[in-house]
Amino acid sequence: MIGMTSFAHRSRRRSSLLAVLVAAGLVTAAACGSDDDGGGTASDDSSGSTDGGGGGGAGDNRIVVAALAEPHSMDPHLTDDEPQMVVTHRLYEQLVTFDAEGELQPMLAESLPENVDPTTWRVHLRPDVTFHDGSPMNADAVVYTIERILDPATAAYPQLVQTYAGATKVDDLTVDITTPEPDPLLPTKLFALRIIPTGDDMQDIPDDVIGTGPYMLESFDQATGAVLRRNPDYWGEPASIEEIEIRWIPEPATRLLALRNGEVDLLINLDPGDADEAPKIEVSPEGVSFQMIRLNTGSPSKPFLQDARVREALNLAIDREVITQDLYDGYADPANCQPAPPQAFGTNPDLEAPDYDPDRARELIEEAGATGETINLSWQNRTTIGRDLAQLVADMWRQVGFEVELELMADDPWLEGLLRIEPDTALDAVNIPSDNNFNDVARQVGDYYASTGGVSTYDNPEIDERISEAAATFDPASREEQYQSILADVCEDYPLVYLYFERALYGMSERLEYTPRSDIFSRLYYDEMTLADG
Amino acid sequence: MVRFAVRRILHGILVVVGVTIVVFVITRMVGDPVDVILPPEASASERELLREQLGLDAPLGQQFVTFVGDLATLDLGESIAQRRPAADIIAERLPTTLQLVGAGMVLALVLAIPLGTIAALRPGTWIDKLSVTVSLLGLSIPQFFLGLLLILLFAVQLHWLPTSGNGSFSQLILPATTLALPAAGRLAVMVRSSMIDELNRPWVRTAKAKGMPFRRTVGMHAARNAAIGVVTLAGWELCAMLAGSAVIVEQVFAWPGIGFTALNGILRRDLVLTQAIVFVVAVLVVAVNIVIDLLYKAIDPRVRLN
Repeated sequence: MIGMTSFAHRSRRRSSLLAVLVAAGLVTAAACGSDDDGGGTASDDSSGSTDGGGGGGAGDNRIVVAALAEPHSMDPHLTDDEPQMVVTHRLYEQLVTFDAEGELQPMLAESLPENVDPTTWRVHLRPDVTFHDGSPMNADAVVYTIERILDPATAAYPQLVQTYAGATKVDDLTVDITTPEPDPLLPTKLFALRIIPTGDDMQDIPDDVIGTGPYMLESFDQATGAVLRRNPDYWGEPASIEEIEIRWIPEPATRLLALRNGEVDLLINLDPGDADEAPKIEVSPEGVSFQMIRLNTGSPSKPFLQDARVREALNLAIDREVITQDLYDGYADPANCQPAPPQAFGTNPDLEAPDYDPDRARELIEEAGATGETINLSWQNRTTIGRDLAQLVADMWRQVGFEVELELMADDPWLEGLLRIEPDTALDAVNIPSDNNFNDVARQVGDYYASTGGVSTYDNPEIDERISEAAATFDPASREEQYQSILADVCEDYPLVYLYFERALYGMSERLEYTPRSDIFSRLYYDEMTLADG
Repeated sequence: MVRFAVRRILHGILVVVGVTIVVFVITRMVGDPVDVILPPEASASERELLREQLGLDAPLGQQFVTFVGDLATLDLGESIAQRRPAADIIAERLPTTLQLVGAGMVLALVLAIPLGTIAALRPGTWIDKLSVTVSLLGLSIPQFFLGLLLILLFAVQLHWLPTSGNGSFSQLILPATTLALPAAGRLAVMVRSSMIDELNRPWVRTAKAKGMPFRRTVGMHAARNAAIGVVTLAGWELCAMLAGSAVIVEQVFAWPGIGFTALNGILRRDLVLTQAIVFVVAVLVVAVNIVIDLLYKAIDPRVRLN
């Protein structure tokens, strides 16, 4: 370095030592006392926000929520991504909703939709509901909403567009909704349909952000955050908290520090390893997100994967206790041999997670003549915990007699690999993360167990037939039975390695009271939150 | 001078064009944005629909032609994620970054110049060693870590400052400091070594012998010559802040500037926004370099620009 040459060698060493000591001092000073409660009341001037208010302060009927990212858009038909959901889930409402037990219930509809003919559903609307701008929620609004979605100019997201064929007004409070093909799942899919007032073109934010929910949008800054205000004219049970400020803080460490500092009351998607740092945590009652490993069941180059005994062994080799209790600190449950968590409609409550039985696994592998074979395990390289899990799985498989080549992949190659489902090009074993977004097992069964599924390597004609039948069954009880039976039978064939269901973890300040649902973490039920001192 | 400036500007345009082409190619080589935007289980028809909506179904050559044509009219395109003009997004966020980088740069110079000068005036003493140590410290700590450390110390432990966000002056302090410290470290070392070189020149000794007050000697004979090296480095630091460290610091402090936006754009495979931001930042970096070159002439009239 220029200038250093004029230094004597001795003094250069001393400077370096000094540097190390000063650095150590700084780190110690900062880390000192990091064990004590960093949360609690913050002095008022220490919190800065566009609204000037902080998260703390008794008597303040408002909370601050730390969100992961800014929403791309506030238009509920353009996207339904999680950042938007954090702001709008109790702002726009739907015709139906799921209750805390995961049962479908009417919301803006008075009763669940009736099936008039295979592609037509009749919906009776709840009377006397108004939007935030005072206009009435009626059949016109529902028809407008659906027609807007079908209009190519809106560029609504594909899943939404492909659900509906049209809507017609029967009378002021009755609408007929039609689907392109007979769809027993339409009532469930209505959960994604957010009703907006007639003529709302979503051009002006925040003025055009109008729904029927218990909270209204007071202000919105794409760069920093949004503020929600309680709707005094809400048709249902009024909310308790008057104002909710949502701030986007993308860096997880910063979010956690803001929570500890009392600047923020609620932090969603808390990492299990950080649970001890939060003043208070709440956990969803059931698992919400999960991971499985998809095996190439038809692999010509690795014929041992075609053998169900080997696939069973790959499941028996996994110690799910270690994964759920150690890796996920108890905030996860073993996956019970199906690709959806318990509260999803159609899941089979009688199925159990495969045992941890490495001896039996070794036996099966020897029987199948697969000892010493190599499996390529591909894993998305996203998070530290994901990497740890991948290593764990690879080691567990090695212990029962396989050679495992672990490949951590960046997002794009991993996605590409996931979508390659032909037997001769598919990956041996690849991780699939998923979540309970739809609360109905039909989607997962179609995606992973049907040969036509977009990410499925499983090809079983008998199961395909049963899946088609179940997908076309309108009677809920019969549909449930059929799916449960499919899940039980496919479980015995082990096309997937079932790992765990992870619960949603929320970090909170002491003053906030909220019992989360087993819903994806971004669906916050702000109207169910209360303040201890409020 | 004018001929020089014009030549540099033309050269700069070439650089900007080259950079933008590279980004265009890379963003499209890396993967399909549709795969990232939709969940993995999305059906083929859903993907086709989205591809159509985003204009990604056109062949690559056609996309490139459209892209170049748009650039020529300074149309930066429409952001895939936000469905509004990328230029609008950049216009909203760039001032926020400039505020941060401006504050960071000023702070860096305010720290570095005195630190380096004092060290140069007392070489070999404890002041010198302390100054070099502090400089080394500043430039060695990774900015991500430094940012979090400052938040932990000044926000969480001492409650003197807020953890993140922007809007008030108190929220500018920690991010600007995080941005400034490594630059200040490097600049201080440069100031020190340049000053030491200059203070050892024969004409400085002559001036001292003549009886010229020391402060005037430093100001008149040493500082201006020392400035060239410092100005070069300062220009480099400014570009590094704009194009690089701002991204990290903005992410840590939730500072809603252009770096933060670029990071989101990359993660969400928003090709259009990413390209647009790279273009704008390339223009800024080229502009800074041209200004620095012109500054040389102002500092040292002997410099021949060619």
